[in-house]
Amino acid sequence: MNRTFRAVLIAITAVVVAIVLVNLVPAAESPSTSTRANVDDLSFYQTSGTAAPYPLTSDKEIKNVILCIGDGMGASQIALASTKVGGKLHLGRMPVTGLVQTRSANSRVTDSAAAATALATGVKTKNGMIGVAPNGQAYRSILELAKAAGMATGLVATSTITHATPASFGAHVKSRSSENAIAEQLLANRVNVLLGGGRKFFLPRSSRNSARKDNRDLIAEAGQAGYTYVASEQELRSTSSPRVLGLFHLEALATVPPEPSLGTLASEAIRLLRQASQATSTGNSGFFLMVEGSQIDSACHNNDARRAIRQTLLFDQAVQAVIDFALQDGHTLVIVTADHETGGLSLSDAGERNPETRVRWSTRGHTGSPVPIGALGPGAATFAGDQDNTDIARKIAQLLNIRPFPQPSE
Amino acid sequence: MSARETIVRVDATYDLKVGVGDAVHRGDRVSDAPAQQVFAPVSGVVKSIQFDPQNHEFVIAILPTA
Repeated sequence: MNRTFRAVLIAITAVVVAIVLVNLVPAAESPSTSTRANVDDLSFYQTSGTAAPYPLTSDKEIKNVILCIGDGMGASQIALASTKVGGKLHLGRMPVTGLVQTRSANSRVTDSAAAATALATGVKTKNGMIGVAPNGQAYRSILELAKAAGMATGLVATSTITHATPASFGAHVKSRSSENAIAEQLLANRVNVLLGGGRKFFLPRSSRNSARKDNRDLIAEAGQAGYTYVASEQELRSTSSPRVLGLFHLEALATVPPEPSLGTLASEAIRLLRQASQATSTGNSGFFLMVEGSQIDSACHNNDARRAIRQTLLFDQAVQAVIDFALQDGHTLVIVTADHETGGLSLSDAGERNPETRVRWSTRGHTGSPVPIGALGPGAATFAGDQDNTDIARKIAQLLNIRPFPQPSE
Repeated sequence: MSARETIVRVDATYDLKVGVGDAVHRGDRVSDAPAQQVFAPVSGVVKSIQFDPQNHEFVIAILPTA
């Protein structure tokens, strides 16, 4: 083999190795992956096939509560997605419906932090605050009180798991941007199942992809505290641990394969929480789960109708998984609502098939419009009519016999 | 982003008072945020507005006028 031929061979080998290595890097590691999603590919979504409401189900004892939150999802976002797929969404078939007023303690227009704090603690707070009243007093969330009552607990989101909505159920900080502290508190609170994005807030500063300001390795700490850490759908499906930390992206989820879909995350969370609750001393203590479709909000901030449709359908797929379980179980209360509306979306020419031609955005921010709520299962009728966002947590607490509520932390 | 651009970050909860292509004067209010008085730090033209989902902020790039 002459020298020139060997050099060419080495160069070709190097190129092949480089290509293989590049392809071995999981797509989910790239923060820009979401921009590569084909927003027009809605083949993942299966329509209901009927417009009939789901059955109200029975007056059985409530054992489980699943709260589904579409971030930024107003009635028009639901109608737009529904028109696109040519039928009612699953969340549009809830047998009990109502409205939710969303204003925060300091603004007609809430942000996700204040809204989720209201939904989680029953207390109004200022925009930007997480799990605390305007004076800084922490209030225990419905998740924390359910846990104290012996129930298993879980949080699922397509944002970072430390983002405003999931954070408000398991952390207490004065600023939503304190995601380092939120990550620590979610684990210290021993929430059984945490599934979402935001690995960068759990990695030590010495790690290349860390967003932490210290060298705490929260993934290692979680392992020492009894959590099983998973980072892929296969790992998630394989575990039966009573405590699971699933972080599938450094940032928010890309919401494209190979990541698990929100529907899969919700189904797996239910499976794990059922196992965790059945493993308790009482045999079946029930569970509380919050599932957020986090990225409807992002799409609407960008006034991007196609992305709003896709994210709403991904959320609806999760709602379908939740409803399927609830109908089979009979002891599960399901509540589907939003924290606020984003974009001031309105629709016209309802007969048109091209959504781009009939949507109007009145803002790139949030609006103070009320948002829809739907409920199913035992206790569902409680959520009919017009209510404040603080009423949601208060009603859940009442149904679960959690008193007093709201409850300040000591 | 070019080196000459000035970046302003504002809470995305509230509507913006400027759009891409708008001329702004130094001191003009760029956001409706009630608790966060956000003014254009320079005079120029709004070149781009991006939504930053992680920080829930709009990132406004202003190209200063010469």
